[in-house]
Amino acid sequence: MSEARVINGPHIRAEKTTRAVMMDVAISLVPALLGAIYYFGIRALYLAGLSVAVCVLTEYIWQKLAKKPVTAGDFSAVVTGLLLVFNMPVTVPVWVLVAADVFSILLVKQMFGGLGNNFVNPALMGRLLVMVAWPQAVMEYVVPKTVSVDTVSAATVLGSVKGGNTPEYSYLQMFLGEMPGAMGETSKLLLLVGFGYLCYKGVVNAEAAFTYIATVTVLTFIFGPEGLFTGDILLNLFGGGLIMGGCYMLTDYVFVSRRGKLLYAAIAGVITAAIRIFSVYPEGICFGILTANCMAGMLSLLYKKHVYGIRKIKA
Amino acid sequence: MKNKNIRGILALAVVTALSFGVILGSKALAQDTEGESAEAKITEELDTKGAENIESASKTKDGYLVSVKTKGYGGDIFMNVSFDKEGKKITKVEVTEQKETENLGAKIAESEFLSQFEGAEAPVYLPGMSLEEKEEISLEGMTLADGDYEAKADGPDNNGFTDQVTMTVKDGKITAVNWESVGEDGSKKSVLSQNGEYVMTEDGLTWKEQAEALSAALIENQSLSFLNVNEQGKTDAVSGVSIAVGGFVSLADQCLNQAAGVETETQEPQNGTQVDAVAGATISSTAAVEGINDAYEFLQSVK
Amino acid sequence: MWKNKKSGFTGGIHPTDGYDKAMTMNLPVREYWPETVTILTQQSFGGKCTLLVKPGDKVIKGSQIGKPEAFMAAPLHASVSGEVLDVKEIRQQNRMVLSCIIKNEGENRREAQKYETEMVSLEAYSKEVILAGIRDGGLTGMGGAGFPTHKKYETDKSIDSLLINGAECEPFLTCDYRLMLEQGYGILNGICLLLKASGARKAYLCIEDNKPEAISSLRRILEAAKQNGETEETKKLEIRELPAKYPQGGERQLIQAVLGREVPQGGLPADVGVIVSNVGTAKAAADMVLGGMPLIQRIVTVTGCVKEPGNYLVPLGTSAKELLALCGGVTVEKNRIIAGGPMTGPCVASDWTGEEELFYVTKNTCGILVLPDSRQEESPCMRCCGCENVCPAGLTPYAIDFAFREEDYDLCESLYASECIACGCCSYTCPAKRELSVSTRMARDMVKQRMRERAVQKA
Repeated sequence: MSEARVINGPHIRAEKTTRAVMMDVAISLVPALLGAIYYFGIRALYLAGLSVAVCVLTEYIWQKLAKKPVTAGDFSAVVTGLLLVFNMPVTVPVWVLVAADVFSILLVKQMFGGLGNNFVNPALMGRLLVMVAWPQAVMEYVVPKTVSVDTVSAATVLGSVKGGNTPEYSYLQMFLGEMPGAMGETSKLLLLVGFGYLCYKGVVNAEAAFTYIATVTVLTFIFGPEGLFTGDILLNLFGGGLIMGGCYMLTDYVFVSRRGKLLYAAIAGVITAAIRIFSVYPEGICFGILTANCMAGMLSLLYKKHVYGIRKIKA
Repeated sequence: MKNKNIRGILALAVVTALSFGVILGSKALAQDTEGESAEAKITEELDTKGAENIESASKTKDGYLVSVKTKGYGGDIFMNVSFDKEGKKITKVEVTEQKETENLGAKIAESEFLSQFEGAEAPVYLPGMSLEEKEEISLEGMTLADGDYEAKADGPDNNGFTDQVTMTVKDGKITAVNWESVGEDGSKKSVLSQNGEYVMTEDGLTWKEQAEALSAALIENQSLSFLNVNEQGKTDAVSGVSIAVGGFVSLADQCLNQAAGVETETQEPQNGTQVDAVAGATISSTAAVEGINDAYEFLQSVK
Repeated sequence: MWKNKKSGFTGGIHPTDGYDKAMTMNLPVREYWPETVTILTQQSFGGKCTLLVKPGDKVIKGSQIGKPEAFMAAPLHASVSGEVLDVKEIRQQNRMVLSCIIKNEGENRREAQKYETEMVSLEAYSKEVILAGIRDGGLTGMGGAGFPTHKKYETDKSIDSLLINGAECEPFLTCDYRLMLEQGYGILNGICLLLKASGARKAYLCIEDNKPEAISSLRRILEAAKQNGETEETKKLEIRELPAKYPQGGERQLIQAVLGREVPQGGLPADVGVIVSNVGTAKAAADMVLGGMPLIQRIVTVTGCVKEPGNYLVPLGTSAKELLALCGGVTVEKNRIIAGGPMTGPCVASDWTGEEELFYVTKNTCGILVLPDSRQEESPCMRCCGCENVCPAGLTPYAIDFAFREEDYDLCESLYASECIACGCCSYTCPAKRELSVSTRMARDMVKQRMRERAVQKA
């Protein structure tokens, strides 16, 4: 009798793998990428390619150097790279993008133990770095090519409304993506298409995304600029990166799958809304989600899961 | 399971294609309605070869659209200027690109400044600005006729003072220059500053002292070219002079023109419209106005 | 109705789309009698018996050859008539087990009994008679761990409900399904016996909704019997259709799904007034009490990567190798042979060529499964919490996994690792392919051992 290898059951496994999940997320971002190319020109594609390459390469080199198992091929770095580039305006200097990529992967993700161990979303942290270190690099938003053939810089819709102007773009334009903004987040339609795909594949937590988006819209509506219940729902919904943040940033597995995810989403929403209403920043998504990220672990402690056969201590 | 993967990706591709259909469709629809609503629709491109500073120009359904480049304080300013069918009246001015100072020169891109051009007859000019300045008649080497010359600003400035410059030329040389600013009640700035009623800084030179220093410098140089006026209308060329010298420069220039026998029509602009500059941003405003006038001149030349 | 469908037990998975069961679902059970049988004295883990025969003895089918020695043991019987060829230690899943090899010389055919074709009156059988039959017939659980049946029924707790487990939630296996389809009368008679033995007020025959034919055929028999009124106990019997979900057939999960009760930590189903028995056990009870035949035969599903999958009714001690050869042998070279279902069954060999002996059928062998060998590397956990969502016990397997790897057994305990039921859902669902089930199971054993040690110290 041959020495049987120790093979652990169960002997059938779900087909879903980390790689497949991450690949699905990457696939779901393709429509928005096509949108970015359509609206902002071929440079969007070059930047996306570069960002993905830098992210994957950084992860690969780090894991090689640190003599860790190389998981650079699991598409999670691809997703980070894509999300990062989606958060930048098309005019972003190449070196800023590269710096953000390296920062996100190396310092935010790998230094804390790699996939699953990061305490905040790497792509958002990368964006924050750029916002703080090179604000002008990410403040120069440009009008889509479909609006003006020349490169025309402009404030984002939310930014310009915050500055007291009336929005220059119709809600339909905002929804379709014809407005100045970061590359990936202008077209809400295409983002939602990708999100629908994720929902179909069951790899995303739609409740949390919905809670977050609903919290922000409701709060910004209630505490509108001209008193209670005067907020512009559609403007807040489509004018900035809310859909992008809710559907892709907030739903990072590390944070959204824990117990208390809806509370987590709601807190992110409250902070985002508060920033939109009270602060000078028109968006607030970055800070809202990052803060909630840090709280996710704590929030999950508030929820005790019922274990079979264990009587509840109270009641 | 495999089926689900393929189905998912196919569905995604189809829905994405549909979305792009919607995007392109809405764009086409929007353009259709926009075309009817007086927005510039190009009917004929105009040849801009040889025309300096003119980027592109075209005839539109409602008139003309000229893209013009002009030199601002921070760099080139690009503007789109729309004219009516006669090419006379300005219908719209847009600043498409500029690198002027934030909160200062950059304000030329704001509607507060730009809206005043709407419906204005070209050419336009700023208070105290010579329309013909652009022609750059070189005063160097021109003989100045002896005599006394005087130039006065078109109207009072924001504080109610009206600048005036008198100049005396003798033997072809500037021998005396006097810059005075008269208030609405007839009070003279030089007097006020001496009395201490018009104080700019505690320790710096008074307005009168500065004006005299400036005049002396002009006499010494016999030309205005030494004054490198910056965006706020100030200069570093004369030590101790910290006041805005824009008014002085344009008035002194007028005196020189008079002395040189160059005809100036600035005092009586039969055609053209006066507009207000962005406060504190003379150069940017002037550049914008010049750009508009360039566009106008170009139109006149091709018509 | 919708709510009812959604409820049931917490967690759980839907491992396959049904192709696995379809391989053998519609194939009638065939009898197979081998030349020799090798009966293990240890039919289940911890169920050691003392052998009563020696080489050269003649035994007849159904005669007792083993006396229970350990708590987990039940009497052992000869599954064929013939001469005892040898008694020797045999290597069985990495441990040596004393086995008795018997040559099959007897008559194998057996006429269909009355209780297998109609409902019979049970008035003649008292509770004590039935319990004695269950004990002497060597009945054990025929699905899972092989717990002796009489131990369940001889409880001093008051039992109100009896659950008969026909869920067969493990993928690939269809032996219980075929049994329910072909031996409906035997099963229902057996359930009535068990009902009497337990003293329960109500019995539920629980079947998953992916076996509609079994449900309708059993319902037909039951309705007829109820109208006939011949057997008192059928009135207390109800067939419950459950939405298919793994691990429905887990004792605790079944109780939660059907009765909405939870077996308390460290307790047995009897603590909440429930006994759970397999349909195979019910049939065996009828065989023993009504037909006088102890548990010596069972249906085994041979399936997976074999030429002709099927269900075989075989005597205990039949060689798995012979059964696989009977099915035309394995069809893939890189394979793994699993004793039982794919979720909980242990792997007995990999890359098996058909040469070596594998294992011998015991009372709780429900299947022999051949699967292609596919091994995936573990990758980092991305905290998707899929394991947490599917865990029927409500644990957080990824957290227990981390705690166990860091040998933080206190943390394991506070995460209730002791409550793991080793269903394998966590490993199945993990996208990072982490061996969560293994570490949680090991953590459970470690925690339980620590608990025992503490109890000893206290005493």
